[in-house]
Amino acid sequence: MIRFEEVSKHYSGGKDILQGVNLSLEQGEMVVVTGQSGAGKTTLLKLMAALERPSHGSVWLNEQNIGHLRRSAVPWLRRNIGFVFQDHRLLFDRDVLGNVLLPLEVAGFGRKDALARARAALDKVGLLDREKSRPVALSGGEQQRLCIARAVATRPPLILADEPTGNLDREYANSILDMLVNFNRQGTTVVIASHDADTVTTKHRTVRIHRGKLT
Amino acid sequence: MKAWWVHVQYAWRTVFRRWAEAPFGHALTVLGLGVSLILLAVLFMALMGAQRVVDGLPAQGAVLVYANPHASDADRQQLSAQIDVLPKLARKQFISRAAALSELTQKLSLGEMAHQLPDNPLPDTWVLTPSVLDVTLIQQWTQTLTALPAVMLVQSDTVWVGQLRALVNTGRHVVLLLAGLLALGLVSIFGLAVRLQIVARLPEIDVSRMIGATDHFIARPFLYFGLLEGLLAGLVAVFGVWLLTVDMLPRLDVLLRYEGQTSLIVLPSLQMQAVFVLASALLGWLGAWLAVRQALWR
Repeated sequence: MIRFEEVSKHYSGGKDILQGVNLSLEQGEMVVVTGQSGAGKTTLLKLMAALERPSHGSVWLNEQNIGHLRRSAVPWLRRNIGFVFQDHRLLFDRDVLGNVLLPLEVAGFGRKDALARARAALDKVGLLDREKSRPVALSGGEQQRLCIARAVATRPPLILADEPTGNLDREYANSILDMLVNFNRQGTTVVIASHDADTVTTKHRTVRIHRGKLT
Repeated sequence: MKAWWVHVQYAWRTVFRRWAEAPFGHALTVLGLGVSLILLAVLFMALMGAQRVVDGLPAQGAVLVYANPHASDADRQQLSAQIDVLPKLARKQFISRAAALSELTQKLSLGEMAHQLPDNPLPDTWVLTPSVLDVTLIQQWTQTLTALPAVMLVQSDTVWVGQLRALVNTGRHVVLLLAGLLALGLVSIFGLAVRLQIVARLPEIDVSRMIGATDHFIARPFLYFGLLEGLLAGLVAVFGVWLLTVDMLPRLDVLLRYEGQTSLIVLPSLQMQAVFVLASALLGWLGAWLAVRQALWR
């Protein structure tokens, strides 16, 4: 599903973030990318979603070289990816339901269908009874669950989660990981970037990254 | 097509939601823009009024030729012959000095007093009407006729009619120039209002981009917002103009009313009002488009 071929990434005037990365992920896999802060985990995820373009090498998603995509084609690619951010990136002027509706609106779902899908996603993360609440009224764990609901609302084939348990205590972190595992069991490919060693205790494939190189 | 329609609906919902978040602020913006548009509309109405006054004036005007009472018969015949060959002469009317005195006596009820005069003080007069209103032609006539010994004086009301028309034409250009500048200013204000919104929505724009929103999807609510603000400002302006026309301006109009002419100030037709509102909406959309282009599509 995803293939990295000799991918390097560096910013002008900066060091190499990734160096000659070769990586292949199959559809339905769950992969945990671990490494210290600054190792290049986030950059790896950004390259998968065409949020960044490789300096060298190719990134393939479903046999499409996404490094060569036209700018206008990138949004269509991203609609097939669910993002879970460490800092949630929630919209605080929208209520919980409004946040989950956003990707459905972007994808062009009709109002009725979008509402049904958004409520189904909220139900999966246990926030259906909070749909009218504002994100600011939610705890950190609930905000992360809301972020997951937003990521899965369109039922994308790929979920990218960048430090999804970063700011959470162990109990909340485990519940978030359980949710991601459940989505993976339903056939969704899940890639988690985490610096937390405890995350890798799951029985899924682990990729270690150190100073921009896979080890 | 279905996705496009869903996005259009979403954009309008977003516009109304954003409006509802700060209704007072947006209403003040619309009011301010509407008042600016009223100024523009009043300028146009004043110009249209002046145009109506000029249109009500005699199209050709007239040239009055007063004969010298002491001119010889030969000189008079020369004058008469010269008048007949004047270029572009549409009509001529001769008023003898006797007829003029008689008419004056009747009009002013001079009665016996006129008969007490030792001599008729009025000259023979020709009223000449040109076929076209051409200041150069009238000047040419005046020059030709004044040179004749039988002519005492040549007077023309055509010149000032022409000057008035020229003045109105100049006014039209000035108003159009002002309208252009005002429209530019309005586009800037519309653009600034939308730009402020864009800045306030940057986190939402950022997230939307990450989850697959196209530039058009992001831009659409801002464009519609500009369109709506322009439309509402246009309606405010039309209402303001109606208020001015119906309530206040007729009071001034009493002072300004031209003798026997139609009113200087008239409410523009419904069609004109609709065009005005649409033009205002277009200005709003243009301002929003410039702001969006500058902020999002760089």
